[in-house]
Amino acid sequence: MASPTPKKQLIPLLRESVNAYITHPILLFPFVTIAFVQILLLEVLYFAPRFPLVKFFGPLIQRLEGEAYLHYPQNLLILPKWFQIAQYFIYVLIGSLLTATAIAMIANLNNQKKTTFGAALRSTLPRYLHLVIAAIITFFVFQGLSGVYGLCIRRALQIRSETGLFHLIKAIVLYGAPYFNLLIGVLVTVMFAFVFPIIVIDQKKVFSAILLNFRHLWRSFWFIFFVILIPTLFYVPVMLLRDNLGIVVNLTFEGMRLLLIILSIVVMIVIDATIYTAITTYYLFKKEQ
Amino acid sequence: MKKALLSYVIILVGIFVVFSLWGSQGDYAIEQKVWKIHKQYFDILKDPNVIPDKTFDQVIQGYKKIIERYPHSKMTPGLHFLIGRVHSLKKDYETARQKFQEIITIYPDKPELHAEALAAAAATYEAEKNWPQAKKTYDDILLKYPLTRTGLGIPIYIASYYKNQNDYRQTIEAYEKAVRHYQSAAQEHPDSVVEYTALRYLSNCYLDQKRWSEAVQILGKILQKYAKADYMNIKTADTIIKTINVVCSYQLKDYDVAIKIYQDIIHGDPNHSLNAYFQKMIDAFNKLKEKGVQVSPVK
Repeated sequence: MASPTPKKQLIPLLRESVNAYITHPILLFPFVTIAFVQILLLEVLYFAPRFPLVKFFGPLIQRLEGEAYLHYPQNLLILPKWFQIAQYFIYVLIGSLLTATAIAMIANLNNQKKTTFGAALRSTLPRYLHLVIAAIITFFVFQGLSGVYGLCIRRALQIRSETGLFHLIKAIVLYGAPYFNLLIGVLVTVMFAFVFPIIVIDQKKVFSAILLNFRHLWRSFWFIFFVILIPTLFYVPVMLLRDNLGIVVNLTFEGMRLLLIILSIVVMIVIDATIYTAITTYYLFKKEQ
Repeated sequence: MKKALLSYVIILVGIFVVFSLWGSQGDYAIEQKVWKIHKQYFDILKDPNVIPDKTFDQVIQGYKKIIERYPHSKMTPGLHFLIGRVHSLKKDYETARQKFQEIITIYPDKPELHAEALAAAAATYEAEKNWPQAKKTYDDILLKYPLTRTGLGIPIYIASYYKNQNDYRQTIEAYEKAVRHYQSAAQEHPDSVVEYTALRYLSNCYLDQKRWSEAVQILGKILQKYAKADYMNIKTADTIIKTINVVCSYQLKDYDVAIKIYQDIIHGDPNHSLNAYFQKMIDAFNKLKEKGVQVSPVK
């Protein structure tokens, strides 16, 4: 993996990353494990309105969403929302650790060392607290930026023009919401791109890792932006499918919502694996320099 | 890694299969089956006149199959109703009435269900433009099930029927009868859901009759006694408060009436959950009074 030097060239770096986990599928294992946890939780939420899980989730759903959402097919309407909330916890508590494990494995492979999932996990475990704090900070920055976009939406809703520039702005802000959120996600990932590699590889504490991260980002912001943006664009078809779910569901069946979430999880595995392999490889390359 | 992946897949599939089988006899599974037929039922509702007889029969058969398979489900009574309704939409009113009658036989100890079944049967007479028979059925409900939710709704329904028919004399009589009915129901069943429902209908009668002062007094009484989670949610309470405010401002043109209603509630129950909100209303009305703001009725 480490043989061809990943210079500051976008496409070769991404190609090298994809080749890395194709040649060493073990690199995908931490991401597959995240996906496993996500699908497991999705199953739990899917079966939440049914016996026996309804005993626990029933009062919760009734209180938070209303009685109607305990019944088919309304429960499927809240499934994406609940799963989204669950994902935040998965990202902070499990995703951070397993992503760090993947980074440790990539670093080992780059250094021509033998790597196993268990050993990498054990080596990252002592950094868990720092990883969790970094994930929480990332999460809140994302929420903050999403909140700012929420303000834009509220302002756009006040536009009354039905033609012209302002109407166009309103349409872009409102209909483009999922895509702008994806872009915000990309920006936040860029902002903290090197934090996990620094915590894992350089064994730094979270706040010094964040500072070092900004130092690394200083001259390579746009490069990293495209390293993250290009793989993320593969998520757009999933979003298009989700936006047109109404039509798709009418043509197929209601369980489509569930399948679409599973599809998005699978696509995200590949995207995350590509991004983190690329970032870690690039970080190691910069360090060597 | 292969082993681990295989165990992940086995765990996920296993959990899916176990939970699917575990709940296969539960209400959720029935809801899934019913939903498939419901979709056809909703298509019928859009325009029953263009739906072929075959579709009506398919829906009826679908509901029947579920009833046969899950006779004791809590959804089954509703499915019996739907069968009756599909017959009714098919304009097969006689069969519809038979189906509604069957509900009374199948569930002998469920008065609310009986009242609903009779009301559905009465609606079929109305659809046939046979008001005398419909009225007879409604009277029957009033006689046999006066305290059910459906039963309590009958007097005001009859009054509004005459109102829609522009039958002035019958409308006045029906409203008077409804008012007496609700007054006595409320009096005979204090501190109960019957009183609450009767008072809600009574206030509606007064509003329909433009007896504004009496209407707001009753609405105040409802807020005082029944603004609790057991009876109403915050949305309903808000609607009642808005009605009081609008009637006092636009119809009675007297802010003091609203102020007094809210003050009485606060004095009567210092721990009332909505007292802070009532105080805000009082302050707002006092401000309007100070500024001498008078509002005109909405045209």
